[in-house]
Formats: sequence, C-alpha cells, structure tokens
Amino acid sequence: MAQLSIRNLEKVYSGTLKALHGINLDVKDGEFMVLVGPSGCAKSTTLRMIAGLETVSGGHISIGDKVVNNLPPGERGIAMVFQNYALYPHMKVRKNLSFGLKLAGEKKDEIARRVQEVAEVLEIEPLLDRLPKQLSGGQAQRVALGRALIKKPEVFLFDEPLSNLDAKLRASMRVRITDLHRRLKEQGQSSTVVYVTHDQVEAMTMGDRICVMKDGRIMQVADPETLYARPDNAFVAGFIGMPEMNLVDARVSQGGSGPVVTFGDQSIQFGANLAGRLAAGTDGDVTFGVRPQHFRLAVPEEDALAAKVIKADFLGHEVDVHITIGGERFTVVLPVEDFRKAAVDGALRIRPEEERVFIFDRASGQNVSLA
Amino acid sequence: MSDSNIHSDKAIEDAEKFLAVQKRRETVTLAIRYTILTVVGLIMLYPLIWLIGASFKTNTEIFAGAGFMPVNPTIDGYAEGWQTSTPYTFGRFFWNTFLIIAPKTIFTVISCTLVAYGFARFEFPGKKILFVTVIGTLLLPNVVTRIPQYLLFRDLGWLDTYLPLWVPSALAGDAFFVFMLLQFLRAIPRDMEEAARVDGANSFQTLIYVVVPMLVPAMISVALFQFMWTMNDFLGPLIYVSSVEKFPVSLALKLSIDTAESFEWNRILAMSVLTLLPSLVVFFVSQKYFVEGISAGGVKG
Repeated sequence: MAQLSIRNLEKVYSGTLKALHGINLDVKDGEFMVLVGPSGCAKSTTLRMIAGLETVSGGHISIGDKVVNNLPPGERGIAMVFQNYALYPHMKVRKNLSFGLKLAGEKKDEIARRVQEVAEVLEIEPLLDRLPKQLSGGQAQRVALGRALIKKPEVFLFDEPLSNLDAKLRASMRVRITDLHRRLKEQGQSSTVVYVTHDQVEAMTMGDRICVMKDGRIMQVADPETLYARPDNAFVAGFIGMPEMNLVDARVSQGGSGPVVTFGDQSIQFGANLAGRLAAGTDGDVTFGVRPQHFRLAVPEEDALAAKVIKADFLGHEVDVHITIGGERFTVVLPVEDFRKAAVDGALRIRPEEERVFIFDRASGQNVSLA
Repeated sequence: MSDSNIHSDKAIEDAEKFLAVQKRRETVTLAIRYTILTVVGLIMLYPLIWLIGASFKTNTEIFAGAGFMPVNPTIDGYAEGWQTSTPYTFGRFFWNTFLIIAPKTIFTVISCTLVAYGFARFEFPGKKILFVTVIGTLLLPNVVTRIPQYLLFRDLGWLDTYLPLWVPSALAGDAFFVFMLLQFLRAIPRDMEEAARVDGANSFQTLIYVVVPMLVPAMISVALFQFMWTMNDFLGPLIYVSSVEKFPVSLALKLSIDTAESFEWNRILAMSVLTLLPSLVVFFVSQKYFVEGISAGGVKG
C-alpha cells in the first residue's frame, strides 16, 4: 500500500517566515493528486518536503504506514521528476537511468533488464547512448521520467515537469504521463502520484483529485468536476476555469419569490433554486460569482440585466464579451451568432443561469450557496 | 521615398561604394590591430625567446649582443648544466621538485574541493564565521605567518623535510583555491544533487558521482595553478630545506650561481629553460579546461 498522508505539516523559514500553515492531505493508493496554486503558495515546498529535500518544521508525513519525516530521500520510497530535468550531465542516458539502481546495489543483469524495459515503455531506446546535452527538451523529460519509473517507487513526485516544454509537446507529454499512470495501475504496481503545477489545464486534465493551495493553506481538495461545479470559496472559484469566473461585489436581499441580487443600480430576481441553496441568514454585502459561460440572452419579457458592451474578443466559434452591469465589470462568453443578433447599440440583455451562480461571503470568501 | 528611387542605379552604386569603403576600412583596422598585437606580443615574449636562444650559445657569445640566434649553436650548456657543481645531476632536483609538487597538488585539489563543497552546500552553526576566517587568510600577507609557521614546523621536527611545503596545502590551507571552487560550485544548479539524493546517494556519493564530474574544469585549474606556483616557489624551500640532496629545481638554479666562481651563464640559462618546460607542457595540455575553469568560476586568473 502506498497511500501518502500529511498531518499538520508546517514549514517555517528563518524562525519567523511561515510558508506552510499546518496542512492535512491524504493521497490514496494509486491516486493522481495534483497540487495547484499560484506562485508562492508553497506547493513546491510541500512536494520537496514529501521528497525529503526540505526539512519539516512541524507535523508529519507518512508513506505507506511509516512516518518518513527523518528518513533521507533515498529511503522514502519516492522518485521525483524535476522541472529542469536534472539529468546528470556527464552520464549517458543509460547511466542516468541506472544510477539509482546501482547505488541501491542491484545486480548488473537486473539493472540492464530494467533499463531496457523502461526505455521501451518511454520509447527512448535510440537515446540510451547519448549525453543529456544531445537530447531535446521532450526527450530529456522522457529520460527524467524513466529515471523515476525505473526505481519502481511507492510514490511518484512531479515538480512542474512540463513547464519547460512548448505547448504542443506539453499536451502530448500530458497524455503520456496519464497513460503511464493508468498502465501502472492496471499492472497493479505502485502508482501514487503527487504532481505540482501552476497550470490549471494540466491540473484539470490529469488529476484524479486536485488540491488547490494559496499562501501555504489548502483551499479545497476535490475531483476536477467538483472543483469546477462546487467551489468551496471564491479563490478556488476564480482559480479554476477559463476565462476565470466573474467575482463581483453585490448585495443580496430577500424578494418575493427568492433572493434579489443588486449590482450598483441594477437588480435581478432569482427563484427557488438559489433560495434553496443559500445559507440561512445570507443578507447584505456578498461576492457574487458566475462563470462567463453561464450567462444566457434574456427573452424579451424576462427579468434581466442591462449590460453595456465595452469590448468583444472574437475567438472564432464564440465571443468573449467584456461588459459592465451597474458599474461592475463582467466577462461573458456567447456564441458568435447570438452575440451578433442580440447586441444592439452596444447593449445586451442577459441573465445568469440561476443553477450555476454562487454567492460568497464577502469577508471570508466562503461559498454560502452550496447547501 | 518611392520604390523606383530606392532601386535606382545611382542609389545602388552609392550603396556598393559605401560597402567597398567599409570593407577596406575593416581590412586596414584589422591589419593595424594585428600588427600592434604582434609587436607587443613579441616584446613581451622576447626575454623568453632570448633565454631559449642564449641557452644554445657559448658563454662568450651570450653578452656579445642582444640577438637571440646563436652563431655557433652548442648544447654544452645543457650537458654541463645537467651535471651541476654538486654530486647530484639536475635530474635529482627535478625528482625532488616532483616529490613536493605531486602530494601538494593532489591533496590541494581533494581538500579544497571538500571544503568548498561544505561551504557551498551545507548549513552548519558558525558557517559564516568560519568562511570569513578562510577568506581572511587570503588577505593576510604570507610574510606575517612565516616566523610562527617556522617555529611550529621546527617543534614538529619537520625542518629539512618536504612536509612544511605541502601539508598546509593538503589541509585546504590555500584559501584562494577554496574560494575559486566555491564560486564555481555556486554557479552549478542544485537540481542534479537533489536528483542524486532522491536516487539514494548520500552527501559523499553525491560529491563523488555528481559534483566532482561537473567540477572537473575548476579542479584542473586549481591543480595547474598549484603546479605552477609550487614549481616557481623559491622562498618556501629556501626556508625549510637545507640539505643539497633535497633541493628542488628552484634552489638548484640558485645553487649554480652561488658555487661557481665565474658564472657559467649558458649552463644556468639551459637549466632555466628546462625548469620552465614542465609548467609550459602542463599548461598547454590542459589549456582548454584551464580557461573553462577560471572563466566559469568567475575568477579571473
């Protein structure tokens, strides 16, 4: 079993600067967990602490059923893929792959067999006798992947492994890594993965679950769909999704058939759905959230918001429309045809889809519309 | 300006003329530059060229003129100089030099690498103070420590042995080299070392298998500097070595001036040429690494 468990993990630098504030995280056996967050959220620090490259200031990390806080990296049963590949420049690919096994005292035959096996899986056989400087970025990253794979570790750690590659290669490596993970899982091998990235596309497409971090704290841990559809707080709501969710200041009051949300001089009446979801006593200043894709054009007699179009970015099949409603700025994604038909004199009548709007507490940022 | 104007015959002619002038100017400046470089280079090298030429002259011819070409070339200077005025040949003195240089160079490289690795990669209590102390010794003039060192080595019974000449260096006593390696190490990203640790290497294995191979150019520079400086060191052996049979070449050269009643200059010059050879050979053989080492380390040699 290779589940990873983190309890009250803290990292303090120079005695005062707290980078990680006692986080708790469980990664199940065989799970692909992505740590995602903006720069400085301590996601890489967390990964490096799991690897044993950073000391633990508080709390503990266990892999399987042993606490690994005080074990050197080599004895933790982990393998790591670095952002800059970190291949040993003076060793040929074959030696790069076998270095760890050699240190572990594996027999020569076994090392040769495993090098061959990994080279076949990653299609790097023709590269085995090259030096790292003779490899392209993609090839080097595959070798780095091979170096992790060959060790048959309990937990794989990835530290932004694709950020040095171009967009096309990144997409193909994404598929390759998830495919590899699936195959390892099918073969019954240890395949627990902790993957750090700042790229939400990577996170959403690769992770079984995603852990969103901010300023050394975990904001939410959930599968990609839940993160998108039911964000716990305004940060997660804004971080996940492209273009990012509209998060604007608003006021909530109770109207006849449900809550009324007011932006500046404009109000919109919602119905039973939002009323049912909204936490009891939600009233007054809030943060209103709705994704750009979750607006629709209002039918003539319907209660709607009058939007002023500032700018429209044509993206081929759809338009990103930047609008203001009651002084607040929003982005709306509309099909090209709909936008052309509906925009009259730089004005639009639109309505957010009630089932998909969120109300966040203004002070804490907590989602109060999840019930 | 219209298209036709740009491509008119006159414009093309002007452009070609300009290019021709530019090319001529480049050729002239290149010629001037190379002439100056050659002349200055020759002026700087002339003493060496003269030394080599004069070592093949007879004693009387040496002071006859400033030209370096011998009129009647002879290798008498080499043959007689090699025999020396002592019971030992010059070969013995070369061997003595080797006995100092070999341990000094090898242990300097090893010890300075270890110390630089420690300073560059580990956090330990008192690191700053220790580092300042090491760098402080760089600023201390050698002459200040001569007498206390002499007394120390005398009490250890090391006088008239080679130990005082190489043991301090074997304990990373040359702060300059520690600093040079440290600068080089700082420029090497830590990722590879971290990868090695994840691969299961301990600190020492990381040093041997990962850091040292990347540090080779800097280590070669250290070895070269130490080799040349030791080869040229006169004061150290003069203070600590008193038996003629243990003299290195630097002292042996001086010996031939001391003992002969009338100086046999061609012998002295011939032996000087031989003394220069090892440093020159070693330098040219490892020139590539040497330049790489000092430039990458950010320390100008």
